[in-house]
Amino acid sequence: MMRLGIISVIVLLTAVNPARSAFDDGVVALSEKKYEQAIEYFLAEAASAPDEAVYFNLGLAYEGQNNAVAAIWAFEQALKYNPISNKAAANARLIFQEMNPEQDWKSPYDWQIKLVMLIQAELWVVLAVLMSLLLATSVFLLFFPSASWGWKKVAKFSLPVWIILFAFSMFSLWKQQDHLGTEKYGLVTRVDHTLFVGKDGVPSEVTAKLGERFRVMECEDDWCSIQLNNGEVYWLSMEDLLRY
Amino acid sequence: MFLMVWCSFWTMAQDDYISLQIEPQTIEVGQQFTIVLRTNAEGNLDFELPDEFVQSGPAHSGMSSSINYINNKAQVEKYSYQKITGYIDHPGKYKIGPAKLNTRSGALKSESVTINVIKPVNMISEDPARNLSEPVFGIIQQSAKEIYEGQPLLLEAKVYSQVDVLQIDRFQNMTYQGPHDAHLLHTSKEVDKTFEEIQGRRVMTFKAGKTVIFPERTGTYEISPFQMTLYCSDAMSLFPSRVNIKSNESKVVVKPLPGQAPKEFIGGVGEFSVSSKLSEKHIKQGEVVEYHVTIQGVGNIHNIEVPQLILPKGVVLYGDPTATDDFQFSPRGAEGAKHIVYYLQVNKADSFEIPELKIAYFSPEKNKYVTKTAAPLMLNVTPDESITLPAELDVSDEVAEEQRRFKDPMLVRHSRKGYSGNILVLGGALALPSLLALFFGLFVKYRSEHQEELQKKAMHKTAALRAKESIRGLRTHADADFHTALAQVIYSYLAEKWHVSPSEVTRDVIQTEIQTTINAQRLLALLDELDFARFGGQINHAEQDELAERTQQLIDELEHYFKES
Repeated sequence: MMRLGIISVIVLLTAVNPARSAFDDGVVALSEKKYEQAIEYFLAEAASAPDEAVYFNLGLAYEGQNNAVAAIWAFEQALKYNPISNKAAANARLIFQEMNPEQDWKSPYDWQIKLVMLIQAELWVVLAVLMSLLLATSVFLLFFPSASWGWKKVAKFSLPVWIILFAFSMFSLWKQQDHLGTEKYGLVTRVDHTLFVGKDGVPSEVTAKLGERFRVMECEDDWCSIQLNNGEVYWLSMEDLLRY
Repeated sequence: MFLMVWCSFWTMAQDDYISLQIEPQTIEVGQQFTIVLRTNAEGNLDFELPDEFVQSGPAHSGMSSSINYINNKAQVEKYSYQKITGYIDHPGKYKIGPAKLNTRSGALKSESVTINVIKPVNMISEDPARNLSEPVFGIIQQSAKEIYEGQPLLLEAKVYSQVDVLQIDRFQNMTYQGPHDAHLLHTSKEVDKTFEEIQGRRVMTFKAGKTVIFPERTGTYEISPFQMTLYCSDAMSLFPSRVNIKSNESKVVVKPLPGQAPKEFIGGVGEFSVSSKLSEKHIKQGEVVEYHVTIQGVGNIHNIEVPQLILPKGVVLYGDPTATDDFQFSPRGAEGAKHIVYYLQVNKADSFEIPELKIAYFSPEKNKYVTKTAAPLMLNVTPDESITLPAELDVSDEVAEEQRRFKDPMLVRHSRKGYSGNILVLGGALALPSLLALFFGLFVKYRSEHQEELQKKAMHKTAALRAKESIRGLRTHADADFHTALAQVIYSYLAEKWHVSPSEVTRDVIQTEIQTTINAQRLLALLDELDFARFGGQINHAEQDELAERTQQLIDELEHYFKES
């Protein structure tokens, strides 16, 4: 019934807007349990307009195909776009713990990213502009001889606030750009995969578990260097790593 | 006393009935099945069979009796029966009945029975042509040489005879030499004779001991031969001859199921479907609702596990689920349904979605795991303030929350793109107003603090201009005070230049301040001349022009002097 409802909503949407997006097609395919089709649609949509919903639905489609690692990758991608998404986190945790019952799943994103991603880039720009103007006004009032004592006092005390908020807005914009623009994490797609000492393919004694998450340092020549929790750096082939 | 007799009469009396029994209910095309009608009443029977039904023997009817125990008291029941044997040649589902019996006291009606006629399972056997040297021989037939763990295996004894078989005796069925679960399908003592053409010879065949087996372990296992004693007609004797036969042996390989079974795997091997429903859609908070799940199909349905439920927060399992079997063993395995009832207690007043229920099984036909889903269901719970829930239910809530998985796709999109421009450029652009404000503020502050000085500077700069303007005015509007005004212009000019008041400008100051001796002397001479003219009282326009001209020239020279100095 719920599923019928979802499909009806989509049908209504498409009646209003005849140009149905790959996202809508993906949702319909997902509702009909045509997972392969749904994955194709969502991957196409992710390439052009990625967001939390696209990756969350992609995760559901992968889960439908019992592709656990890809599903975790997609749910964690959804978290990349909305690090406070309970739905994506819950699904990633459940699948991860089904694969690794002895381990606890943790979100790859810290509170800073969660805070920065809470607000869209456009709003951070607006906030930065606003803070810039308030900062300019406060600065001017401090030096303007005709300004009253009250205004000067307000300007004096508010000036540090505007400076901090302006700096924070700019930092958030930079952090957001860096967060969305770079692939910092990767999931291993093979069972007990050997890690390499260098990109020349010399194997180490260290192995990675299926679905284990690493911090990706750099990627070049089809190889990526990854950092373990203990700080050691190894190399993996790009093919064996689902990055986000 | 009368009341007691009356009550006992009604409790012990058997109501009139008519029943319809069909065995087996899942049959292969051409396989015989038996229909039995049984009644304890008399009347006209109205019973129709499907057009596809072919009666394969005479209908038997008669009277019989049985002893029934009602309230621990034995009661003899007499009944009449009618028995029909036949088969159907086309696969499909056929509804037989109901049978109606019109009696004096009214019409009786039985339940109807649906039988499932399936295509025969393909059997593999040794080539009978190799045994044609024997007058009678038996070959084990089996549905597959290799099966998966849990997949049913069908075995059947097939006898080939080149002589007329009159009777079968001491049949010992083949045995699977491994841990297994066996179900004999063909219990009838009668066999169907058919004739086959093998290498140009007409050979009589019949089958017996059809058994479905569910191997319980992987490996290669032997199937020991079946044995039987046959009485065959002997043209050389008055009496039938006795032949003991022993069939071949066979083997079957039981393979393990492929790895990476889905998490929803319930141990099923075959083909299954799942459906679910709630006993009620609207309940009160704290009440228990039944969540019915039916798994239907064919395979090893008798061995499947109860699927695990993932429940939303606020809904907890109340006790263990109960499972009811409704299946029969057929050549395809266990066929039918398993009904599972989960008891759900709802602790919160809200609308809940009982999530879709997934089951996974292994399909030997598709050679892969298949996942089937029962649709999600909505449950509305209305509040009941009189109910106080025990504290431990909250713990279950947490567990339910942990187990909850979000399945519904997200329909609403929130695009989150990072800033696409250069952050440094933006930062610089946004810092500009503050810098401008800083510079402008500092400028205004400086101006206000140095206002007097700036004014003096401005006057210093414009003193010559003002003196020139004054001289021009005096020349156009000549009057008696011309000389005084012209001298005043000079004093004012010098006062502005020295940032003092005109009264402070004296001849001594002029002498001291103006270093160029020539200028000072000429200036003092001009001032003397003006004083003389002022007190002389004569007005000569030519002289005035000349004086004004000289004053102007001298101011220009002084301006040049001040600039240089």
